Amino acid sequence: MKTEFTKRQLRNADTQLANDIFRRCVHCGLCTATCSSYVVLGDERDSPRGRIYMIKEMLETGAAPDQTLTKHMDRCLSCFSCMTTCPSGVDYMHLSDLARQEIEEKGHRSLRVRMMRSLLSETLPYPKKLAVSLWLGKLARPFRSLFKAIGFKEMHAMLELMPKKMKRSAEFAGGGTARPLGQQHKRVLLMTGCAQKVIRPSINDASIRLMARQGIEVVIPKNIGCCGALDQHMGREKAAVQHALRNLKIWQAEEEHGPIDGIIMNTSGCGTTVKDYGHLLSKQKGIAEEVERLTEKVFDISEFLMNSDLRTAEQWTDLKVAVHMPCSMMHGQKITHQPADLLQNAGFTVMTLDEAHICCGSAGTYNILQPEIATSLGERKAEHINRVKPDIVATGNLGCLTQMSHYSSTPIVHFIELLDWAYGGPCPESLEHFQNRVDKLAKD
Amino acid sequence: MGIFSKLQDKIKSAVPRSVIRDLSELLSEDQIVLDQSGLKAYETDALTAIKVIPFVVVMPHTTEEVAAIAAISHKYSIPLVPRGAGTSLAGGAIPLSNAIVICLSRMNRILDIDLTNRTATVQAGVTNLAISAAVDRDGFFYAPDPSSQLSCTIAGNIAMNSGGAHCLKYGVTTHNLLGVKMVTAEGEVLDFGGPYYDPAGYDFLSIITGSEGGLGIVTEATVMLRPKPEGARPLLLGFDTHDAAGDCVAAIIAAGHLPVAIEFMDKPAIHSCEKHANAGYPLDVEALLIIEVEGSEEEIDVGIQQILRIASQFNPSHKRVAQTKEEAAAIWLGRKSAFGALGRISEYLCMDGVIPLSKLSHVLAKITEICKSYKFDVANIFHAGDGNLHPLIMYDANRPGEFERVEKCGAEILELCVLAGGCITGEHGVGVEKRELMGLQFDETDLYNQMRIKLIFDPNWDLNPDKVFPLEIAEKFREEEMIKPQGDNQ
Amino acid sequence: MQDMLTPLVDRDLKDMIQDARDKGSALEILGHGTKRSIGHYNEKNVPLSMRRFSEITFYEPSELVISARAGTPIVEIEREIKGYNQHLPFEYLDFSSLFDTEPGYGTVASLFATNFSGSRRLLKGSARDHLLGIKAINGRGENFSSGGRVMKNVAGLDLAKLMANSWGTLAVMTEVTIKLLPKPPTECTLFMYGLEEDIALEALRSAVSTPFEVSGAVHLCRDHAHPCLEGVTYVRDKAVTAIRLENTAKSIAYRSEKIKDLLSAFGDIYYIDEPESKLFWQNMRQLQFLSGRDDAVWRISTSPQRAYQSARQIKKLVDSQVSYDWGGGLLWISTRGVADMGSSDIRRIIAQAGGHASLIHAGSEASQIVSPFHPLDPTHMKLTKALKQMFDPDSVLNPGRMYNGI
Repeated sequence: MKTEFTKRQLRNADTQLANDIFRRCVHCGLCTATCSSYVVLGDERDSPRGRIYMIKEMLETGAAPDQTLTKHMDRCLSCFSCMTTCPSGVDYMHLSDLARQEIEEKGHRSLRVRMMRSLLSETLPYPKKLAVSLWLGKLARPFRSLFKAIGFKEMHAMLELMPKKMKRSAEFAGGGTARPLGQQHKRVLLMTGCAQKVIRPSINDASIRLMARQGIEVVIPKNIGCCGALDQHMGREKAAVQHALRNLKIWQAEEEHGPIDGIIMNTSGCGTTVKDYGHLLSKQKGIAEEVERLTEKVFDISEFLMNSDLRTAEQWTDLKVAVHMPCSMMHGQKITHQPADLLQNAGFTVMTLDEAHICCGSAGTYNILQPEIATSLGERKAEHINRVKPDIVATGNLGCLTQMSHYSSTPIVHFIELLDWAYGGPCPESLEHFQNRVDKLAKD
Repeated sequence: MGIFSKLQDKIKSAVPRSVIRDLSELLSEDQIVLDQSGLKAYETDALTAIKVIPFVVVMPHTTEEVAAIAAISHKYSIPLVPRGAGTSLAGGAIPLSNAIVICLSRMNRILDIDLTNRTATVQAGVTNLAISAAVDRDGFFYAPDPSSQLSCTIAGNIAMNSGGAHCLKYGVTTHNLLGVKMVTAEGEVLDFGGPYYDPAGYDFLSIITGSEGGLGIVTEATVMLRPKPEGARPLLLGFDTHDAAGDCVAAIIAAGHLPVAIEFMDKPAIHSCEKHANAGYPLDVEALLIIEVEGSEEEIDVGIQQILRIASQFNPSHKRVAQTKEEAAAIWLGRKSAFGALGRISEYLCMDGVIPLSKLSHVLAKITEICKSYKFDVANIFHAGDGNLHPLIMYDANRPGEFERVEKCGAEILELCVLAGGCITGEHGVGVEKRELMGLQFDETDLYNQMRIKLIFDPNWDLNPDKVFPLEIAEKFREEEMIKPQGDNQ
Repeated sequence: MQDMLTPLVDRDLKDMIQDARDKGSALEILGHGTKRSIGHYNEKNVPLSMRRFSEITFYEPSELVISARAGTPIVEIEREIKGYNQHLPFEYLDFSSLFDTEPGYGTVASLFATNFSGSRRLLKGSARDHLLGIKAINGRGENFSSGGRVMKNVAGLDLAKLMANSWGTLAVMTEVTIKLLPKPPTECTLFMYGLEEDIALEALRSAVSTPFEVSGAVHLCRDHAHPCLEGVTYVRDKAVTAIRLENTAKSIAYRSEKIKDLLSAFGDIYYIDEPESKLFWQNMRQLQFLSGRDDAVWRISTSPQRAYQSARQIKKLVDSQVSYDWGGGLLWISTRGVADMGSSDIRRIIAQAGGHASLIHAGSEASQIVSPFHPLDPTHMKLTKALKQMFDPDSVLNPGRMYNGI
């Protein structure tokens, strides 16, 4: 596409980056069809192409982001389905980061929205604060309709989505090292996810058990904190950078105790951000090489297991599992088949869902901040699940798991919980009624 | 672009604010776009070189709303420009500054699937591929497959009479459309055809298809579904020269074989498509043919053997038959994303000329020559089986004056196509892009006979008024033959 | 009958049109007159035959395209393209046996002006679908052209296809360009005898929903079947359900087995080899099943889904015999001894089901009381009149042939 920047404007590194991105876009419109917000809203302004066009206008004119741009950027789920579709390789992700940053810095949002965004940004990444908030939320939950009635739809949505009962805390919640069973092959660091730790600790437990059983030493670094994804998606670049820098230091410290074969992510939303630390930290001087060296070790747990020669499964089952690939895996990290392959190898019958490329509506904090659109997407996903009628839906991200559980009566689990089960771990909590459809296989 | 700006000046008459009042009474807030930065997003389609910010954009949900919007446009006699997904490469959805853009993307429901009739009835904004997806499990598909089929809407396909790679066997939109519901310029709702063949009386569907939104606004369509073939396999043939590839295509057809698709790509196209699709295209050939054969495994084997036998006379330097479904999908993904993938290299103007097959080698050489004389690089991607060429002329959009030069270069190529016995557009439509080139193919009487039909459906000339017909001839025609509007207009 | 006008070149034709406009008279546009008895006959119209516009002007076998002047005999075209193993894929209908005229006549433009496609329409489309381009002269005496010789052409409105089924009432075509297809190497047909109508239609539906490219799917009632089976099989006193496959020998061998498996539950299936198969479909194309009787003949296009119910309703009210083509989408109905040939009942029922009914042959009854073409609703009639007005403002071309005032 033609752009209209002055030479002076192009001296700014961000503008130069944006210009390169615009020039690649041919405005063909293929992205509209696979955009999770456009399929629901049908408005050019809610499509990647429309947003790119509006961002271009804002940057070219040098104007502050207006309400239109803010509204339609806020409606973007950052599922990046458009980037899988785009034949020209337009880097919508980094362009949208730029736009969000502009909006955060110069734009106007209502007090209510700002409050809600701050609340999320201040609690979700911090497990202790989150635990307290969940407890408070439990008290507030009965009054959730009240929030809706006064127009505080985001608060209502948040209370709706909250887990109804608190989980016991996980085995290695405070950090530690899980020794491998049998001979040790590899050593990895596990990023355990901030909210995941509190809301569904069983995912981390399963990950640790499964890897340990396969001869992998799993280190859960003690003070590991948020990856920064949440702040980054809200346009709070500085906060995100701080998170990233802290994590880098922790990784380096762990390396001193021995070489690391992988930094493992089992919550794919974080994985996308962590793998992209190179971009996030590109303005920090003198660390680029180190960042690159370390981020090359970052793997989604499915990628890592695919390359780890798993032993044969210990039980046989005829359970049908539909795989819902989180957008952050499929589009953000281009992980397309690994979870399905792993499940298939473990003996499950794997099914695919129609419209697999469309987001379930979770998208980080999206289902709290954009409850109407998230609901449409959640219901849409539930319909697709209903159409193929699986026994279980497996996914790879806590957000999707929470969101889909809200709209579908089919049990939703993390694929790692199923794998752990197949390789000798306990039956996941929500699947106990399937116990009778599983046979233990005799060990060779 | 001289002519275009001239038109803009002429029609920049003020639009009465009461238009907005009428629209607001009819539609809810989220169905109307009025603010400048929102309207900006609607100023162009896939022909980005031309852009005009419309007066207002509306997004109806029902045929009744479309009819009411048309009635408002008619009442004030202001242009009504329909838009689907905005994927037109010919500028079919480019607004006018005093226009209501009526965007049908929200009318995206599949209304009825009847497998006994083998028909689907869908709303205007349903995407082409969504129809096939809806009947895929039942073993059917909707045949026309424009490269933008993922996102383009069925009503847009009807407007442009869209084709696609597999049209060699299955025909284009006009051959696969059975009925439409259409809103006229005056806001009347009409039905044409239905779930049966060959409707009674004059064949209105034949003129509605390809009328580029100039006769009415299609809100529903009934299309033919076909049983999916048992299997299909693409075959890749690489050649060292364009001529060899072109001659090979002619020989295949002349020998009585009609594969379901024969696609051609030249070197620049192969390279950029490969980057997106990882289809395993050979990178060291000058021309690549993708030939798809359908049927049972055995039938496909036989078909491919026959084609390979013919092709061997032309010494292909690369031969590969897709072995798996995934491989086949990647091969088609590459071809179908070709226009976008070229964006990795450069901006381009996409041509859509058609030529008789026997002139293929000659025309290809000429195209290279013409582009060279303008110092433009060109990539060629096209439906070789039916002679539908898509030269993509690459240019730097940020360089002043380049667009005007590339337009001229394109016009020369289309003139070449017409002289060779072909036409200026095979499937993209005329839009604003080629309307001044209609004279290459039609004389004034031909055009008058077409414009008289528009006048029947659109007596005030409000529906997508600046498309298809050369502006000056259209104006002359209106002066001579249009019944002057009555004085009751505001 | 008045003297026949026979123009040789465009100039003649234009003069004749001008002359008619000046005199306030009108012309009956004809080719060889083979379909003259379909539609209203208006004795005031001066007959004008395009038969001297006869020449193949262009043929490029490697492009599957042929052009010919309007009055070129169809047989001449077929003779020419046969040498290259090509054919007119829409299997045009031949009315000679029905109207008792000499077979093998008919002009190429008439194929499109009347758009009567045969059984293969189901798979390969109608005559209209194969009309790539035209040259024509309208009622204003203007020469115009549309389309061309290439398969894909979306520049402007498709006036060529608009000529299809316009019965010479909008313009007189002077030249047509047609898309041809390679002739299939061989064919076979599967027969099932004596099926109940609803069962037969279900069998046809199953067959045409397969990927095996069924190119003919008909069910003939017992009465209609008899003349069509002459020389084809010994069984001639039963209804017949026929499914045609055309492709290479290997392919049809494979496909016919598949379809046999699929339809085995419907009854016994008989394989009809190429020569007999060809004969059967030729009989179909020549409407042998309707000929040699005094009945009125209706041709009805409707949705396959509603075909059976509609036919049942019609049979209840009108003494009639019903056969099906196009997998159920086309009904051929012969009626006997009904005052209006069943017109009011048939058209009411078909209008409800969606579709239209044309009276092809009035039999011994007088046709003038029944509109041969399905009456249009007021909105369509308004548009039809407007279109006629634009092309032929003085109503000199075939006025009244289709509808009163058109």
